[in-house]
Amino acid sequence: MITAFLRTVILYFLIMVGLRLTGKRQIGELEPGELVLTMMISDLASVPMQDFGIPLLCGIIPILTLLSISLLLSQLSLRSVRFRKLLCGSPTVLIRNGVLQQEAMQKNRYTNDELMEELRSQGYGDPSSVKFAVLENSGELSILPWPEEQPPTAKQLGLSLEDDLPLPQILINDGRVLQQNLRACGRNEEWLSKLLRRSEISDPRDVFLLTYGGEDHIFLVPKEAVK
Amino acid sequence: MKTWFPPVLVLCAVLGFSLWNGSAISRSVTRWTIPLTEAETAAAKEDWDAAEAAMQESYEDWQQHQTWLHVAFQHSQAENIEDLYRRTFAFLLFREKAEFQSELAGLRNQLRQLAESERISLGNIM
Repeated sequence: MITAFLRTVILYFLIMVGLRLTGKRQIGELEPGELVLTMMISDLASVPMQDFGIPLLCGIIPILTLLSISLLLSQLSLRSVRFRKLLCGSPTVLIRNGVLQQEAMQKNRYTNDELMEELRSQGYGDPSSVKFAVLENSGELSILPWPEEQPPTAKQLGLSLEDDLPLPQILINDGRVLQQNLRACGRNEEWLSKLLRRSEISDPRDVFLLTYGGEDHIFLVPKEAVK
Repeated sequence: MKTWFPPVLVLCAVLGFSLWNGSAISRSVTRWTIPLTEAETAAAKEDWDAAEAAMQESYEDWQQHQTWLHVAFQHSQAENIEDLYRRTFAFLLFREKAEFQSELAGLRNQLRQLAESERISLGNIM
């Protein structure tokens, strides 16, 4: 049993580190090759994890090989557009200027049912309201509706707005003060204490979440026990 | 260049280790098999003491590499060979010539297969 435990820990961390190095965090964003890689790695890891008669190296060596090849191929993709197209394919326009591209749909084996399903899931029940629909390499369908089908932007209305859009930083996360973020905002512990006192909180550990994006963009949620 | 280096290094290390492993097991199997051949010759002449000495030499050398064998190869392979060593010794003890030679042939075959499994060949790859 201790063998199972240790092998699982080793393989788990190996895969975690490896997949982090490949730079993907969500399965939905994976290119087909990367999805295959992830599936193969999990399969390779599970064999020595369960069968103690198989050396751990029989899992580690293929995993390291796959991760290294994947990293090299992604480096090559960065440098060569042609190679990237070969490896990942290229996005396909399925609706162009409101017209269904039937040949493109056939080539990608994309049925009308699938198209309607995707359009509906993104809030477009009527295909005539879509100007462009692009099938991305990841399999997702990107939809660009006609201008009259979407809310106007301030720019389109000729309005000039003040740029007061901040990028809030998390200063306290589940009771822990993030010193690096505090310093990045140009603030210190004293300022933080004053801010918390204004909300009748004496201890940062009583704060669930505090974000700061400027004096007008402070978002504070105390921990529920404290409420 | 920096970004290429780590994966290339890992691939080279993995390939290097695999090639070394293959070469090391070939050399080890040759080393284990030579005394077994001597044991077979000695047994044919009914020189059981010489056969036993040769078998013991091979077995002790084999025993010293158990950790490496269990790390780099399927445990079942190493365990089968261990079994064959023990059975061969048993027949040697009782001076059962025919059975001894039969088990010895099986043992040498298993060792040969162990080395072959690490060779680069079309049969192994496919």
